[in-house]
Amino acid sequence: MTTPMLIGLGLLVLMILLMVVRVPIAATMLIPGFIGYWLLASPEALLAHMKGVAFARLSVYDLSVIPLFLLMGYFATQGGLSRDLFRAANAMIGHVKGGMAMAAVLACAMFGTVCGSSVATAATIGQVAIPEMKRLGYSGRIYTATLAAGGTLGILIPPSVILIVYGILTEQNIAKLFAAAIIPGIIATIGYLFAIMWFARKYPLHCPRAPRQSNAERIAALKPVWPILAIFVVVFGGIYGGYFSPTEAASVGALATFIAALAKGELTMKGMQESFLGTASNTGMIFLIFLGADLLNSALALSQMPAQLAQWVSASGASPVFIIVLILLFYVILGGVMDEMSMILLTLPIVFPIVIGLDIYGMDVQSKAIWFGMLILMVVQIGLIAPPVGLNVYVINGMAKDVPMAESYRGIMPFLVTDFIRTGLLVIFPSLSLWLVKFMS
Amino acid sequence: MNWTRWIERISLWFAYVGGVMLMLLAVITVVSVIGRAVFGQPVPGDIEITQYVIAVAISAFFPYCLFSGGNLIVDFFTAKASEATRRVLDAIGALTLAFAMGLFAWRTVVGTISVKSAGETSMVISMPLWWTYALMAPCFVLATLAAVALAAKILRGKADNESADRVRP
Repeated sequence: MTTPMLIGLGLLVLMILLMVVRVPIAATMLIPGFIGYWLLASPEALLAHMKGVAFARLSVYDLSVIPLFLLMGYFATQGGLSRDLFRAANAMIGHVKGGMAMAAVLACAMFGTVCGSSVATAATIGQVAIPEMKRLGYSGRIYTATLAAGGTLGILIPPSVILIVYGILTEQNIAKLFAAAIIPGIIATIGYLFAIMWFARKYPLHCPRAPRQSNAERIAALKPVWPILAIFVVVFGGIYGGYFSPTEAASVGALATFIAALAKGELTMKGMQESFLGTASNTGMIFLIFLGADLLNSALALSQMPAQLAQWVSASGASPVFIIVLILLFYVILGGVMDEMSMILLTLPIVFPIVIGLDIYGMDVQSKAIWFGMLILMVVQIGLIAPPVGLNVYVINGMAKDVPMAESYRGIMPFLVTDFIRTGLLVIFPSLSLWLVKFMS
Repeated sequence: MNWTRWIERISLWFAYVGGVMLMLLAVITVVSVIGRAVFGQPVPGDIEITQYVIAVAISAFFPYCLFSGGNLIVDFFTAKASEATRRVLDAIGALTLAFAMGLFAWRTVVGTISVKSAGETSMVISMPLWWTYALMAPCFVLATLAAVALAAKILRGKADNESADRVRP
């Protein structure tokens, strides 16, 4: 092993040590990044690099999609759009076995078309769906699990903050990644509906039926949903049709959602402030970690370690699909300890070259990148609800304090099974991800 | 009011200003899209404007986010440590963040001076570049102070670093 590679390894060890002693994640990457640059290039090079690096990394046109889509999601949250979605879905299917839980999943899926964050989706739909499911007599196990799992549709269905970050890190077309995510997102929604059906059949007492609603009531419930449908059609029709860049679509979407929320009369001054602060704290967190990961990864690149590692792996003779499965398992385990966004930002610059270096089903580089992006999205999503630390489960459980955490995790299991099946399908059949991308201009 | 409260309050205002910049950016972009569709003429330099505004807006979010989300930690390994230990570690952690932000602040100030003296401008509308640096520098200075304030608050037992299980991705 060469000295630079040893230094590279030392930087990773230092990072892990800093994490163990509770140093904030952004700093656990920045500090080894500084040291690595200092040692592998020179102190002068580090200082020169630092002069312009903040500007260079933040003034990227495509990056503006992240805060804009976050802002759009907050306006939708603060504007009361979630209540209409849940009521409409419940009017349609609330009367079947487990119908209200299914309605919550459908409302999450619809909300996911304007919101790119899973926790925001879970919390927003949860606010309206949990009290109603409780009132009808649903058990804590099923309503917490439904909302925690359903909330992940917020990132599975585009727009998706994770996909944008992936697209920027790997220099892939974000519009194509969004297109690729549609079929997996639909499969996820259907999988969750099946999980609820199975659960309702096995434990009928946990999910009582709601009264059937008349057609007039249904039409009345569907009416207020049109703004969300219209925003979805304009924003994504625009992206897929090639009329808008993702930034333009996010701008149109944010303003349209703002206007829709104002028109409903529910967006208050306080709601505006909450939207700005939520956007600020999420955007700031993502980009702080982004700056840290970028600095650490440039130091690691100087050490030649990622390139060497990619070479070793492709020369190891192991089956490429087996390596992919190993990488995904590694992510699922790491996601149990670490925040998913930091995990992706940190590891992707090392893992991505390995994946691109593999010969998988004879795919070209772009197809491989898009396909792997979907797999990354799936492991992040699984990390959000899988024990021991599923962030979404925590958030929803925090909203329903009387439900024990173990009950929520028991309820999550059927949903998690569909997640693993879906991920397996996506690994085996890349065309599930790539088919829609073919039709884009 | 003590100094940490002041820094928090100023950070809050930076975040609001960043939010307003983001809204303005959305408006400019939409005007540009309409201009392109209807008159065949987008706002000149719209892409450059987006790049500069977004860099400044994100920087303006940093100070506030250090108090919520930016101080994200992994507490898996120290969950069972005593509260005093955790508090000291968290304060040291916040100070490392302050060190990193301070380095960014210092170098961005130096960057402002060198970009200004080099007279760099943008490609399409020849906007001078130095002012974006000049707007980012105070954000990093405030972020440094915010991290120090966070450390002080943690030592006084008035704040915690956020555990990774609690914050939204």
